[in-house]
Amino acid sequence: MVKRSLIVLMWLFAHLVQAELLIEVTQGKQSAIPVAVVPFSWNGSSALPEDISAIVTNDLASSGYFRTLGTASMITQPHQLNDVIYADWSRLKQDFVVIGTVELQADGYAVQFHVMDVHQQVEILRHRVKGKASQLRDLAHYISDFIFKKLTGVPGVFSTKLIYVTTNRERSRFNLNYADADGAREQLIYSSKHPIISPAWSPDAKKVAYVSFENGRSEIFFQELATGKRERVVAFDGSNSAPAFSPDGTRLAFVLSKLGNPDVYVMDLASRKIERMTNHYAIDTEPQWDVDGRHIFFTSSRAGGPQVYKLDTANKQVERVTFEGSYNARARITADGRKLVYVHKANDRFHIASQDVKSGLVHILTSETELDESPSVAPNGSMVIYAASEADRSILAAVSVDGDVKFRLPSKYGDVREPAWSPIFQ
Amino acid sequence: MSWLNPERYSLPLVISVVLHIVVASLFLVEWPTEPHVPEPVPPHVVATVVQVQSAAEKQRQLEADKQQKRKELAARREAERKKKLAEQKKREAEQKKKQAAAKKREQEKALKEKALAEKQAKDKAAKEKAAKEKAAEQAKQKAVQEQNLLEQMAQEEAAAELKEQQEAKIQAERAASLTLEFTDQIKARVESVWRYPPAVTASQEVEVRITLVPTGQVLQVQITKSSGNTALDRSVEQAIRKASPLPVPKDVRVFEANFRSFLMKFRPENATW
Repeated sequence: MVKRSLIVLMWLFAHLVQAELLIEVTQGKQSAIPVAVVPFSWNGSSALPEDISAIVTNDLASSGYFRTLGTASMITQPHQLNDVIYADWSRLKQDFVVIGTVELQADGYAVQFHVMDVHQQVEILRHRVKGKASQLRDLAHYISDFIFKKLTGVPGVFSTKLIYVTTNRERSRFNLNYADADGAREQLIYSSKHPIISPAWSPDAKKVAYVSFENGRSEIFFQELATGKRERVVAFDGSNSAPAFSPDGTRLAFVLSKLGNPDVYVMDLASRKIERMTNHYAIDTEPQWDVDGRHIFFTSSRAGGPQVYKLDTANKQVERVTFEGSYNARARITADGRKLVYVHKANDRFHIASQDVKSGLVHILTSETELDESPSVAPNGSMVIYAASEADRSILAAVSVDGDVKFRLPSKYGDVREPAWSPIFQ
Repeated sequence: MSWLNPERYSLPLVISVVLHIVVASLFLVEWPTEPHVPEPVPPHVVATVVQVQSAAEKQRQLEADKQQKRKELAARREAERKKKLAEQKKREAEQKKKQAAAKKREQEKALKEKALAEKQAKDKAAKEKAAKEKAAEQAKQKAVQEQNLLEQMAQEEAAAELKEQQEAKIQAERAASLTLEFTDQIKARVESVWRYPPAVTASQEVEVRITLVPTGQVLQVQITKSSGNTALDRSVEQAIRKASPLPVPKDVRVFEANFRSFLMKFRPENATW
């Protein structure tokens, strides 16, 4: 009896001290999140100037992180929280559902929207935004940003802007344009009969820098977006090009070629003093600040073909970064500093590639377009916009950083080149 | 001590049988009787009244008579005395004889009794001895039996213990293999539905406690350690809900031991974006 109870006790004890079951999951799917945006209800008599839920759907779908459900596939189209039947959306393999209502009020429009977690069957976001008729598109982008941030943990970039250069076929007119991140609402901010190249945003998104040949040689100009006020900032003897603002906005990296050999320089914007950063007989160009504000990535031909190097501005030490292939140029870093995006030549074709900074793993993102150039990364690191050749024209295309989502931005006018994605507006 | 069991009447039965035997043996066994000894009869005197004649004559006669009578009396007395004596003697002899007989009888009886007693004692002793021996034998046997029983019990217990241990071992092995099997199944199932959000790093980790019902249906998902990224945390919660019901062993003990409530850790190690 004693023995038996002892055994039982030991057995119990053994079970008590036994480590609790722990299951580790280390592999998941890195694919777009399925989300259903139900058309928002609208109590007005005439159609809305902008279809808000359609813009939200498009924003999410084009972000690369979401897969939206077509309205035709929806079993129900609820507008109120109580009307949401989670089982239906679960059957449609949706992870999230967005519903909303648009109301016309005395001072404009009011949009109320909810985001529901289909699997946990809870509302996870509810918000109400207001705006005038002219701001409906902004409202929609704002809603998209809100949803994006909630569901991904990453800020949305739907309210951000693009600047890019367009030229006519004859190359007699060069325009600097400003548009929504989805290519809508394009505005002309500067036009010249001389080439405009290398536009770059200041970190506060209030001004842009670009190279203009209006004075017969390449000079760097700043232009305030709100006022249109221009300033010639870098105009040394020789060729001044490839401006890049430091993350804190106090310095400008650029390329100066005094005697035909381009090198990277840094200008302190307050004092306008410059410092030479590279001194090499090879070409050093296309500087881009690392997120730490100390290092600069640049393209150099010092090893023969163009490769990306990393410069420490404190001690001017240079370190090669790219090793795959014979051509890697025009590097851009994601805002989180984890990925380097650049033009990569493979099989005699130019494509956009991303390189994991830590592991060095290279992933070619584009394949359908040709002569891909000038990549610019969205401020949240989700997308890359770049210029590409298509049917003898230069167009803008975007690709998600995983290469899964690709789309083209509509262009109304000739060739489109050198896109620059704005920072997130505060 | 089953015979003490009041429901089985064993004790009353034994008592009644013993009583019957005792009563029956009372008829068989002669009680030793007391020897009858007669009371000694006391000698009694017979007196005779004599008539007196003339004085002289009478006297003489009386005298002669007297004399005679005295003689006669004396003789009678003598005779009587003799007779008495003889009687006495005879009586005494008889008595003696009687006494002797009685004595003898008594002696015999005593002897008999003694013999009987001896016999009885002997018997008793023999009996006792036998009983003792028997008891000793029984005790010995009992001891042996008990010893055997104890040994048997010990053996049985040891065997049972061994069996129990073996069974426990088998059960534990079975439980372990079942646990492993279903751990893999749960892992595979959850992995197949876990879609994590962008901008996660391989080192981010979410730990959750999952509570199931025996059908595998997810009752509760509780984040015990957040990754700091709510979107990643939510993706984990969703994955578990999506995977519900989870594959769990049918064996209730294994289920209760490991799958009623357990922990899961999620790390997006294959994250590249």
